Amino acid sequence: MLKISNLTARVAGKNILNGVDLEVNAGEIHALMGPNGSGKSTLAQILAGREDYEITGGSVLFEGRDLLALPPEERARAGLFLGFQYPVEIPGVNNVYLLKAALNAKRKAAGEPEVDAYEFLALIKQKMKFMQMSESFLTRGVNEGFSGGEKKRNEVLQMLVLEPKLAILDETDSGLDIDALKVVSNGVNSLRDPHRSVVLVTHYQRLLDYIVPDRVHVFSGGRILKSGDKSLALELEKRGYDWLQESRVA
Amino acid sequence: MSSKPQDVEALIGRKYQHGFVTDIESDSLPPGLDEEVVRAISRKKQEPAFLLDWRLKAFRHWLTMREPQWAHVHYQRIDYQDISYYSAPRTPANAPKSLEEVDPKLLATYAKLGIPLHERARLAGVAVDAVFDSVSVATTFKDKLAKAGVIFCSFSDAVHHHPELVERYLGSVVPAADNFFAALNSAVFSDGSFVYVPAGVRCPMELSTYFRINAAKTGQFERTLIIAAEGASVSYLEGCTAPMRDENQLHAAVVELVALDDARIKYSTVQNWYPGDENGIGGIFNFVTKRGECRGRNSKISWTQVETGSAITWKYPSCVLRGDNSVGEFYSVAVTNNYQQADTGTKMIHIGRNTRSTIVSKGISAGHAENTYRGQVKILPSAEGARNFTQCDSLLMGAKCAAHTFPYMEVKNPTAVVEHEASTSKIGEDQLFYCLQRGISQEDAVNMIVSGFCKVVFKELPMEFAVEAQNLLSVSLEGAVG
Amino acid sequence: MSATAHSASPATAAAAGAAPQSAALRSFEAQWHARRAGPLHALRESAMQRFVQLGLPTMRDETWRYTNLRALAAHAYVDAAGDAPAAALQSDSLRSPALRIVNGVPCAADRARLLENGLEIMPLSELLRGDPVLLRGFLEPLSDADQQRWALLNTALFVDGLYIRITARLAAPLRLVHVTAGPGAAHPRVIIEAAPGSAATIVEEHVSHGDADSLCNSVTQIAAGAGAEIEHYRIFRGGPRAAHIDTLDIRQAGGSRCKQFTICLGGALLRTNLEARLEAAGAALDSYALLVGHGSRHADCVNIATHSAPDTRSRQTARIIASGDSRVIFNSKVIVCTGAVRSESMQSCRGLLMSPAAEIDTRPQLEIHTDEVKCAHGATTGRLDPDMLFYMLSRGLDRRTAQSLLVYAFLADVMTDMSPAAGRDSIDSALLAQLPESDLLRGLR
Repeated sequence: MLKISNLTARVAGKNILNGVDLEVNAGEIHALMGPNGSGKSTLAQILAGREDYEITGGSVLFEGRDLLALPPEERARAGLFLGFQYPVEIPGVNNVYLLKAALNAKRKAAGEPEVDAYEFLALIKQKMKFMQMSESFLTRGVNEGFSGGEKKRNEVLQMLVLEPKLAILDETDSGLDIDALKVVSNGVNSLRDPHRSVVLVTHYQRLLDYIVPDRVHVFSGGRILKSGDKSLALELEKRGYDWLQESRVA
Repeated sequence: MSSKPQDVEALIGRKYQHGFVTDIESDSLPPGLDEEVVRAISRKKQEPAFLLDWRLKAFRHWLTMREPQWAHVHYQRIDYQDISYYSAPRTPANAPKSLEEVDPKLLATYAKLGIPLHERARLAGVAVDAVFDSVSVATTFKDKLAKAGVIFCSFSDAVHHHPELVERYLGSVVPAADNFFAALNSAVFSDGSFVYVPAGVRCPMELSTYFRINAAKTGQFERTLIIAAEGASVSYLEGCTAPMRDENQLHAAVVELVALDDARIKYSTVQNWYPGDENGIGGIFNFVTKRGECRGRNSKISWTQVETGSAITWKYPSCVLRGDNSVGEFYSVAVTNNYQQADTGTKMIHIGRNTRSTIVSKGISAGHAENTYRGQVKILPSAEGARNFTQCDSLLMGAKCAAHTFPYMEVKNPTAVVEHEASTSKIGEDQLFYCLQRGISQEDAVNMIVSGFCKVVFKELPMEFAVEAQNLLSVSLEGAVG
Repeated sequence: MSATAHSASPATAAAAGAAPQSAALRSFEAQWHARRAGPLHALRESAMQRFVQLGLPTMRDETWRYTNLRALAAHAYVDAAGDAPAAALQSDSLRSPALRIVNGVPCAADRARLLENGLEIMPLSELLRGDPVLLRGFLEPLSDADQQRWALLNTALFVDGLYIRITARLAAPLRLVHVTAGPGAAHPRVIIEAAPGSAATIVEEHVSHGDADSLCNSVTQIAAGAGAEIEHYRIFRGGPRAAHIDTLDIRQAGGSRCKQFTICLGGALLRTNLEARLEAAGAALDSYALLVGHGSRHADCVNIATHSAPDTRSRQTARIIASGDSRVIFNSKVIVCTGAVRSESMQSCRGLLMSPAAEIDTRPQLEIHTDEVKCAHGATTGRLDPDMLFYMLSRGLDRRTAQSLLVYAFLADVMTDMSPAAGRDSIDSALLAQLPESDLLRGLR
């Protein structure tokens, strides 16, 4: 599904990714953990096609295609979804418009017919119910005036509607109370499927109680320092990131 | 809760503290202005021919110019023939060779002002150039600075010892014919300060000039030129006071800053010229042209001003951001009380790519005063990726004062982002009440709130000046509680 | 020698001397001399004299700093004909019932169709003969202010116009369509008086006919009585060679509410003036400007709101888009007079530059003469927010669609406050037609 090889990148002359290697197979859930500023979010942004970063080396294959050669919108249509850490507010652009335009863009690219307004409304209402979102959401601007938790729910709602092949969720758990965390986790788990993969970027082991990962990677200094199964996350929770840094020096 | 207007009147009262006159013999030209006066000034200063020519050109152009009318200030027309254009303390010999030769009365004046010229009584790490009426009377720490390669001297000294630098940079930022007052200054300027920081040098101490107008019926026309060569940096402070006199006195200075590649210049002003009395009689007309050019890439010029004095203030310290990635900043507190008028602000001219500018202006108006912010942000087509952020807030104290905000934003490049925010209000009654409820007196509460309002500017001042600025602020607003 | 700065000042002579020589000014004088003396002749003559004396505004005049009238000044204008060609009356914008005013002269036939209870409409020519004293009250006092310069000329030269009196709460919007059929200059004048407690929506649309150089110098005055509610639109849709200078004066009595929309969608040169006076407690003004710079259009919008009484409120919202090599200026000012305590004002201006050759100039000004006020303004000029754009791209929208959506959303603040009855949809459509990727936007609505 996704194969990252020796990826390096910098921003404003500062190296921020220092040789990332990561392979995610279809059906797998990976958790990417690590301290603040370790480059996790940068990796997520680069995968989605943010132009602010300069890629200095390495490659990324998505289903065998050169991901880095595609503009962000084509990556999205190919089935890559980024759940933003800080979803931007877009006043004046209606939530439903955006989502319908996004879904139809994807369907068009796949040679499928566009959904009409009624079909779409039925679909989105069903997904909103699942995400326990109020109907007032339909008439509001994208993320406009949403609380932090509402924004994160909205990210997962968009994911459910767009049904990506690979979802990268950048700290989708941060700022959520325990009930919201369950709702968001349910959303992610409902997409679990042998043909779909998820990369969870997170600080906390807590999320992994609800979404059980196949692999856990520790990110530090712009690369993956250590990989393991779910028990690695528990270990980290107990001993902190310093443990890894020290053990590496030793 | 709000206090009644009569309380305000009653509370206004503390007097200008620097209003004394120094009784000193001076050598002055009689009032009046013509080409001969310009020549006489140049002769007295034994200037090279290029400078006399430059002055005469400026003078001839000035004759064709009109005094600007666009500022939001009102005053009786200035009679330029009734001003003396040169006044210098008469010293036994020609000029003092060292501090020991300076007239003791002068030293006492500066001591009274809190500006010690004796190096042993120095302010920690501040070199001072003191300008008394038209001439520089003393510059301290010359030797220490010279060791670092920094030239810090009076403008007259610079003309004699570094004529090539003066000729190269004089008028290169503010041309002689730039505006009415700048042209007048160019014709008749008598002295001022000169700073040259060579490439790669961080000036080892704060530099400072202290201006004092003493003689009656005298205009002060000083000129400051600061050049920071590649990679150099310097912080410069300027303070001003004048005696209390019934007639208005004209101060028309020009300041030019040049920052080459990677250079930094920080220019701070605490302006406390005599503001006139509570009925608006007397005070200094402060018509000043200050401009810096970020000529080199990655250069930075930062203006900070605290304007509490003068009957009328007309000044717009500006930045021409020519070099790519250069940065301009303007932080200002302007306080007007009684019948003071201020029309002040800045211009940020973005020419280079990725140039950035920040403008923070805090205007406080009390009594019958008028306080105007006027600022221009201009993004030229070449200024790809330019950014500006402007914030200007006004605080009104009393029902008879006025505060105006006149921004000009001209954007000619679609990749630029220009943002401007402004607000005008009086001191929040809930803030005031909160303080009173905690047992703080009304006056202290106002001081606290006003200095909170100005804090973002004060923190840009060098430490020595921040304290002075804070004190000046409370003196200027003494009793002006609304 | 004793020359002072003032005695030798050639600049003064040049400034004062340049304007009176202009062809335009001479042609306006010729128009004036061709008028027959009627009632109020003395007043109108003094308006003409002052206009000639002050001359056409130049860039030295504070509110004309960004607009150069040199090309206009070089043009000699004849009086635009009062009887319009039939074709001029078949304009697109005349589908729904409207009162047509051609080169300043109202079409008699339209008037009868629009009459309803609570609405009186009378041509100014009739009012001039029947009640010159009432009319005089609206023409005086003459102002020397530079933003009122062209209103002086209108006062001198208007041939006809409309006097509209509203005495009840009108259900349907009143639509006026001004047609300027060039060549030549027209000086339409509209006076609207809203009686206390009345309410109305008035839509004034300006179109030009034919491709000759034309000049429209229109003036509209609105006097809102106590508690009156007025929603007023001026929509400019002139052709690519049309020059238009419009002056709108609003006077608001106590408790009156006025919502004003200025929408620029056409013309080569457009200058709009709005002077609103909040003269008694409780008066409130909401003004909106939607300025679209397209092609090489020059649009200069000047808004001045004066709070002269306590407890008054004004809000100004402007949205600007400039593409091509257009230049758009938004110059707004709030004046709070001494004694106008508890006034509140808010100015919000946002500009979007869409091309490297376009320019946006903004001047949100405050002039405050009392302390008990709350006034604020915010202004930004820039490009589309790259974070918003990236968010939409990452959801699979293509760049053109995403950009168009953002541009459209940018204007939403103004559009959503329009009442649907005023023809919001038609304004919307006309607006879309001038935006980049307008076809895409239509599909997304």
